[in-house]
Amino acid sequence: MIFYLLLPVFSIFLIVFQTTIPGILFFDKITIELSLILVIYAGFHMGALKGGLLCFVLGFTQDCLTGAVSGFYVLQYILIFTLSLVVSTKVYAAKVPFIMGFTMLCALLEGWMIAALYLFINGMNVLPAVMYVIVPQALLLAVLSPPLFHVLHWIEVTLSHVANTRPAQ
Amino acid sequence: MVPKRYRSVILVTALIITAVAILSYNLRQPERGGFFRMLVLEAAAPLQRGINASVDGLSDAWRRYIFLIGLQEENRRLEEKISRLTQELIRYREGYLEGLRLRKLLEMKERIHHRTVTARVIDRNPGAIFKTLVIDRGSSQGVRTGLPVVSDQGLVGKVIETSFYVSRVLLIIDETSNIDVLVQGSRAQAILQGAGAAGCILKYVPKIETVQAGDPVITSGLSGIFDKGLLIGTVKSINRGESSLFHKIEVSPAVNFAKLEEVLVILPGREGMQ
Repeated sequence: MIFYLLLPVFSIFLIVFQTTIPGILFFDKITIELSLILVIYAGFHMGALKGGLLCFVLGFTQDCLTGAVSGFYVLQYILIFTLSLVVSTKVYAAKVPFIMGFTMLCALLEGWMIAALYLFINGMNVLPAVMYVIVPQALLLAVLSPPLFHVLHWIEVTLSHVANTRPAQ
Repeated sequence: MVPKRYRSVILVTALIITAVAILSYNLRQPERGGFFRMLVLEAAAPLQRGINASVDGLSDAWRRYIFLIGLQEENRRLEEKISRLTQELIRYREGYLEGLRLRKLLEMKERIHHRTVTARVIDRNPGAIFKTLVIDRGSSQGVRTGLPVVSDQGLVGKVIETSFYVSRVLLIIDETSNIDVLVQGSRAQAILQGAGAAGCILKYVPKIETVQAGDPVITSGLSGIFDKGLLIGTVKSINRGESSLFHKIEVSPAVNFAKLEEVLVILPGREGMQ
């Protein structure tokens, strides 16, 4: 229950953090979309309800805080979550090269979806411009994904352990 | 009851449909708003303000640090550029000055009507007992002992020693140098002897000759070594002592020997002759 209560606060904190701190470090040249790694992790390790809701809230928060049309990131995150969920039923997603490759693929897919939605909504082809942002970000996310997966797994295990031991106390 | 295996599929499909519905609904609305959107913005505002306030100082320091690194690098690059350009400028200035000197030598060469060899001064020894300098031309270029050496300013001296590619020139200020000369104004004939740092002195000018300070002193052409009319210097001072038959005359050489860089060695025979 605490997961659902903390989810909006956590989402806001994460999105604010990822739009502020990397901007300072990289002079607004590169953004590190940590929420995307979380979405992929949710697809691999969380259930459809928990993970789907997490992606929905994260996407909505991202829409609100980046000024995108509501539903823009929600749709993307849910599609990437669905892809991860489907892949997780076929592949054992624990090896570092696989996590890196899949994260990079998802980041590039997200970039392509952004460009496609832009083209659909505004009639503008922003793919060449987006590539300059998306490709370095995809590489960066691919590098960051294995340690972040490890940290997220540790948090998940710790939280479930706390949740399981509390009634005994 | 829906089977458990289909629950995920139904849930995900429902989420996708909801997302598409939200997106298509909001695309029809020209103004972005809505209660939940405002709620998120309001909730995020204090957090954004707090994070931005706390990291502003850090951000400034970080930007300043990156800026200073860039500045240091730029400073180093500019210093290197200045150094390179200064060296280049010095080379160009040297080339320009050399060109000016060589032009004067060329003018001198045209006035002389003799075959000449242009030589560069490669060593000078002004503090030595013998006032000589070394030039980078020798017997292989036709330089022989006894040949006169001139610069654009006037007579320098004569060659006293030659090697294949190097020669030594005795300057007119050397004490052992004696040249037959004329004082241009009075046409008084005399012997010019070197006097070291003091320049030169004119010997054997009778007191009946009227010599003025500033009168040019030129070669007489009588010795057979130097052509007539080469400028040597000007009369600096005259001592008309009572006891002697001759004037004591000091001469300032026209050539600044300390700054000589190129000279002409006058070869025997007229220009055009082999």
